[in-house]
Amino acid sequence: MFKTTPEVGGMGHSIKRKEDLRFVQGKGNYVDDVHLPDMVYGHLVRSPYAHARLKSINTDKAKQLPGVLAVITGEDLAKANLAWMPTLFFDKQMVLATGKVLFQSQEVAFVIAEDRYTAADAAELVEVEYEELPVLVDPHKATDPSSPILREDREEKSNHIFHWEVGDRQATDKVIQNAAVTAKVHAFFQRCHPAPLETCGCVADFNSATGRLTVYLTSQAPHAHRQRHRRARVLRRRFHQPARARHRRARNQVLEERQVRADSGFRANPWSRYPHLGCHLAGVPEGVAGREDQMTESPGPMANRRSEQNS
Amino acid sequence: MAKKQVVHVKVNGREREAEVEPRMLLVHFIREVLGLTGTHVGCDTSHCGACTVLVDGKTVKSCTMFAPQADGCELFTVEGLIKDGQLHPLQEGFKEEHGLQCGFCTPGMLMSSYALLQKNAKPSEDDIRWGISGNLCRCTGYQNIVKAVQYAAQKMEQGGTK
Repeated sequence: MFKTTPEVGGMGHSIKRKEDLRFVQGKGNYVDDVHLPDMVYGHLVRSPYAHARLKSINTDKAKQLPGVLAVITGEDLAKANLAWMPTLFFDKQMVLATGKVLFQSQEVAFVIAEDRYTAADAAELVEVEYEELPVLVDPHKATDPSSPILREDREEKSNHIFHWEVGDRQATDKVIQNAAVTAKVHAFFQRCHPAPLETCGCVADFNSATGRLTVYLTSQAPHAHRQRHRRARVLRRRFHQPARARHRRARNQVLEERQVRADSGFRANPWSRYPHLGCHLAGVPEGVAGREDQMTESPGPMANRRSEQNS
Repeated sequence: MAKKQVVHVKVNGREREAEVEPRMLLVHFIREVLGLTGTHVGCDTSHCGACTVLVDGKTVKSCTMFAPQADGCELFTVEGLIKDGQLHPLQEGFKEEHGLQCGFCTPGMLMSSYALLQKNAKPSEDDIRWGISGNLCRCTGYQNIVKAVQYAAQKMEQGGTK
């Protein structure tokens, strides 16, 4: 077999990683290591219920706490038409809940404060009144007529949100019809949680003088984030009139991607929305998710996904 | 808010002092006040060990200690391992044996392994696995980390390094 010499390297030779030198010295520069002048911190208030109507949100006490700069709710965002955003699956989702929460740990309010401890304290002071609604925990029952309908925003009153099909159905049916033996398999997958050691996080830095938004984030899909950040233009229109007037540029967003090698396949989720929002309201915030946030919010394969082979 | 407290530490040989809230966690003190961001936060529950540092020579998960509790102590973090531009044998071992991928757990792994080798210069594989049992790695796995520590133990024995 052809093999190059060790000096030439390539196929059949092991190579040393170039990036290790910084990691073994503690100079990895992860998102949580980014510290910008005047940086402020964000903390999310999440729903303890899987399905509930939001009756009221009182942010007065939280806002009065020294060091708190802003407390944002879904209603605030709705005023700017920003309460909903598009998802990667051609649907839309709430940025901060309005009307109802549809899953446990859904984001209900976002607190921005001068330091992370104050932000966490203030989040505790946000008073949310919920009216519990029947929950739907078994995906197999999602389309039963007796199941509660979660989405009120859609015209079709159904829990069937999207349909995904690939391949040639007719050809496949034909093959199966003519097969000597057919088998039907129900495969069950447990809830699987991809959990890299570095949690999701983001630092957003909007420069009102240049009109540039720089976002530092943990992501495997910076392009998806960039798409989300197109909304920055909408935001500026609302909150940064002068900047917009002077710097109306199409490409004024910079994404800087940080360590994402241990992505485990879930960081396409556009987590950066919160720091980004805060950025336009209060300066230069950061939002790095804690482990609890990570375990409860981040998407993994659905529980009990069922695959079926027609016979 | 509680009255701020002065915390004086010697970190990697340097004297440092700052006034902090008494509830400030040692890991935040190290990362945000002292600016040494090599020590990481990976969980809220003291499971992961990414924040492991040495306090007076003993490994501590710095997210489970308040900064004022470290007042008057000597801290040793990952940034202190390199000496005169020379990597510590452990750092070299992790590099040579592919003991890391994303590198997030590495500082904690290095500090736990460092403490182990101080106590036990010739650890068995079992000793090493016990030594890093408080640290989680989510990408490389432990096989190569064990090899990295063995590499360092051997090199330190030959070179007489501490």
